[in-house]
Amino acid sequence: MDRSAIIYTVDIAGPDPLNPSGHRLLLGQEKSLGKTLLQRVAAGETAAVAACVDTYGGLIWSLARRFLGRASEAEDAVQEVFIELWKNAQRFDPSVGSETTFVAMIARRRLIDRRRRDSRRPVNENIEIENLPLTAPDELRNVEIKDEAAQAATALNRLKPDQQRVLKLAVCQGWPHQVIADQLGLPLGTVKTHVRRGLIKLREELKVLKNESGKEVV
Amino acid sequence: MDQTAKQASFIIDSVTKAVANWTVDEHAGLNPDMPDRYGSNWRVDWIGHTMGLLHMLAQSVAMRSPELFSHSLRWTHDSFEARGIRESDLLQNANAMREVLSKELPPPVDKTALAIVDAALESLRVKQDDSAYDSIENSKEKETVLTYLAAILESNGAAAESIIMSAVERGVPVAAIYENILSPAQARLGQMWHRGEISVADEHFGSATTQAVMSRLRPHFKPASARHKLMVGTSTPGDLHEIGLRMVVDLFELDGWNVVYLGANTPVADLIEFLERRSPDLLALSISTALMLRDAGELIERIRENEKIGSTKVLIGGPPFRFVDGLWRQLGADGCASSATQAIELGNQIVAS
Repeated sequence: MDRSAIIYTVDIAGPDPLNPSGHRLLLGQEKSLGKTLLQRVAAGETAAVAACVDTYGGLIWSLARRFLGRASEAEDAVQEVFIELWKNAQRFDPSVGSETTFVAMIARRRLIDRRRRDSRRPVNENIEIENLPLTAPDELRNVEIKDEAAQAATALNRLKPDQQRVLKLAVCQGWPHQVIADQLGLPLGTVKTHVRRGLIKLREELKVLKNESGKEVV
Repeated sequence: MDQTAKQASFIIDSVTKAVANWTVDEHAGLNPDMPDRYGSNWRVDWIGHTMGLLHMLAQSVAMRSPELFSHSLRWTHDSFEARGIRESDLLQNANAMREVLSKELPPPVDKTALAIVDAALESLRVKQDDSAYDSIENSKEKETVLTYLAAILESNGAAAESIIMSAVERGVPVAAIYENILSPAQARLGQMWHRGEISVADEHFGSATTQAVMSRLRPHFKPASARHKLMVGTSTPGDLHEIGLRMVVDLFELDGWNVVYLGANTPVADLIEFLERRSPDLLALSISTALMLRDAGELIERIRENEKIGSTKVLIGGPPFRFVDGLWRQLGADGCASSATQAIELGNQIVAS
């Protein structure tokens, strides 16, 4: 049988499976209509896919790194999250919440799934160098680290509750300011203020604690 | 290019690593002996192979060309066969990839991608005609090509150069040396690498020798009378193949054109700026692999959208256009040449039209 005959039996005529309605906005029109990135992806805009990866790749990477630890696993997980995003792009409704929150929610769900899946697998990969200590364990240094961590925790607890909450999310969890604002329902400016003033206050508290214990604060 | 198909193509490209990981998991699940058969690096190797197939699938989706992916899978099949890799592994891997794609791609993208994968798998079941066009057998300088190839396979660059310079001395024109000796020799080296008969190092030595020989031929150039036309030759970013492109540019020069050879891998923004500055009559764009098709289409779109250079005639050529008819029209080019000599004829026609 002729090979070309087989190839052309694939039905690529008729309704376009990529665009069943046949409706398509011209490039650039979507932008002028003020659509978000995911809405532009759902509308079939070519440039929106790359823009989405550029915009949210960093956020998803930081979430994956925090959830999964290893850089190589985080790298793989980022693409898994994007698969979910492409599948769910049409579900995004800006009247319900911001796009960043939606992306973070999808990422979190997929990362939890992945972590559960991985925990059921036997671990047979090599431990990454980045997770290995650079020097042999040093009991004295461990004691110092624990002491400093305790001081930082004490200093953090002396901040106002709102400042504490925002700082924990920003510094300990690595969340972007916009995501924190969306999650806590705070204006972005308030989040930024909490972070800035909270860090200043934290430093002051650590100085006080250093004076109390006689240790230097870096 | 069709923007909807192009978006589907970008979506596939954005998730190749994840899809490849799952594919290899599925494939290895059926073959627990893969580490024994393919060594300690088996997983990395198979993920790399699967990612390559997925990138090619993305191009096929962008072009809506099942034939493009079928050709790629057939090419991989032959390459694997030459290296003793089981056909059943290639098929199981491709079927596992199909399963993962059907589960993971968003609904509008998956149907097109799966139709293309199915067509390619079906095409593998059909026995191919192995009597492909043999450029050495059909060359007017068959004996010279064979002695030139023998010198290259012995890693004897001086002997290879000497064979070509002897041809010049017996009056073979430079254009004929390109068309009847160097091109068939390069094509055969590519075939030999594909069949696993020579290493990448051998192929690199052959290409370097041919480039050196081409430089030595320059003093023997006898250009026709000036045509007062300017052509620029280059390739898309990421495309590192230069020999075919350089032959085309040299033959335009011999035909009396003013030429600018930019070499391969020119960044798009720099090329656009250069075209704006020099306003050539013709841009010759070399596309050596199907993985560059979408980028080539985008480059031509950018040229067309640019008020200063939008009417520049674009001539394209390269292996992908030899096995899929009409592909060049989708990219928005003005013509497509199947050989360096045809490029000259077509270039003159396009510019005159």
